[in-house]
Amino acid sequence: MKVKDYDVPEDLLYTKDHEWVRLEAEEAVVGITHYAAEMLHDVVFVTLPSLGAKVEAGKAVANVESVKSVSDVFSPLSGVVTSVNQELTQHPELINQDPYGRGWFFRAKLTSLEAERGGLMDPSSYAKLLEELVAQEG
Amino acid sequence: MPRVTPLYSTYRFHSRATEFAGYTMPLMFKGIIQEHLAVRERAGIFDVSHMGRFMVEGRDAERFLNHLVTVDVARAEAGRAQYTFLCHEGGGVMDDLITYKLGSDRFMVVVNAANREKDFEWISRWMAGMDVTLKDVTDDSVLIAVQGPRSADLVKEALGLEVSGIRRFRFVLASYGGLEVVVSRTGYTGEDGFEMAVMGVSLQRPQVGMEMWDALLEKGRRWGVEPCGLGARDTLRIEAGLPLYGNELAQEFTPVEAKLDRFLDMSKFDYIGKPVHERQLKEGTAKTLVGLVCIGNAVPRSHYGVFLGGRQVGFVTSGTFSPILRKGIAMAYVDSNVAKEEKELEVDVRGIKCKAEIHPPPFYDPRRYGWRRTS
Repeated sequence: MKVKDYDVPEDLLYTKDHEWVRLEAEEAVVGITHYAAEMLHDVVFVTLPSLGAKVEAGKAVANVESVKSVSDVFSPLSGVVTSVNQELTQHPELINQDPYGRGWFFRAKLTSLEAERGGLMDPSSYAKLLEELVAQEG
Repeated sequence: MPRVTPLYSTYRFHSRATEFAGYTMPLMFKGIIQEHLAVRERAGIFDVSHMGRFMVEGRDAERFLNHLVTVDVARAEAGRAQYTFLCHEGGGVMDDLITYKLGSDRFMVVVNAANREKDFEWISRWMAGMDVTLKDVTDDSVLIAVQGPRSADLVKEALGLEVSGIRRFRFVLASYGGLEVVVSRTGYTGEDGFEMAVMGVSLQRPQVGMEMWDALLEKGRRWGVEPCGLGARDTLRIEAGLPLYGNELAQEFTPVEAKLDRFLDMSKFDYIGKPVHERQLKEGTAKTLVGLVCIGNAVPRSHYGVFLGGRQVGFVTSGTFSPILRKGIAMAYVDSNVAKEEKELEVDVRGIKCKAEIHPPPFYDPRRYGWRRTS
């Protein structure tokens, strides 16, 4: 679905901080949403977690630096990082060009999915959040 | 309620907005980097109508201003625009500004938007016994900047104004849509360009200003000229090493510390702050402004600490990603001894020390970019 110009794919889960999660068996792929990428606009540098790092739900794991500002990316779920998208260090613009595809950040093996899953938003709740934000923008 | 400029309605739906100095201003149109590169390679158009514009008039105008600003406006001929400072008695900067000498009894003064009220009060304070009047004309004019190597062509083609003969930091009075325009070869990007103050345009009567904006955009479109927001204005001025009031310039810093002493006229009889500047020029200052280029992938931001061997030796005043260098760049105040002796320092970027080279402004290669470019 779409809110204004922002894509909200229906096969993903979301956080209020505009990260997305794709669940695949016991693993999750994580990135930032189209809306977040648009708000940052020109992403120029990315810092990613290291392979094997333990990540905790709600804790900063990466950051994205745009021309005007730097923002933390929070891990939506707890787990251990099994791969990171190294392509982003050379081509951070992928986050703007393809936020749900080649702009992914990292993949993690989850450790507390059952307990934490309830803290994520489904596509329609995330779309509702975006509608409120878009309305505030005027 | 934030104010808007008379041009706001022309770009309102094509830009992302930000609040600045009490105004709702465009932060970006298509994107900061794209706008930045358009200015370095072709041209960009900026609405800078939020900047304060005063008229100083009267028989004593010249003598009056000369007491307040750090350059000699008396020795300048009519048609000169001069970059200068208002300083307080302690030598610190109240504001940086440009004076336009229309005649020895008539000046226009352009000040920072954030300092408009403060400056008006400060200037008024020295008027007693002088044959001089001070009028704020900000709300009755717009200021449009055209910046970049193709600026002269664009202004000529779009507005029919022959401006290629105007020299740098000179201005002429022209006419557009029946209104008077002060056209100066000045700007805040490091590039060649013009700033045009269209007199008599207001929120109530915005037409001629909007016509000028639209004509520039319309003609510029096929050349790849972009409307630019405050985001690109900031990255452009940092890349050129130009100071911003509130960052590099403030009441607690002097122009000598900011390495801007070429805008202090020591041969002038007197001006407010001169004794302090004189002493600092002779004895040196504890801190000095330097440029820094990050060696790794990091962007310094204002207030980040600058270190040498684990010891803090300064702080960043402005920092950004340079679209030309594709690196983090910054201006920072550091201990003068350190600035003199060291080539490389470290910036604390959120807990990680990043190496940065000291680099004199501008940060770009002045043979390839900027108004002195040779190619």
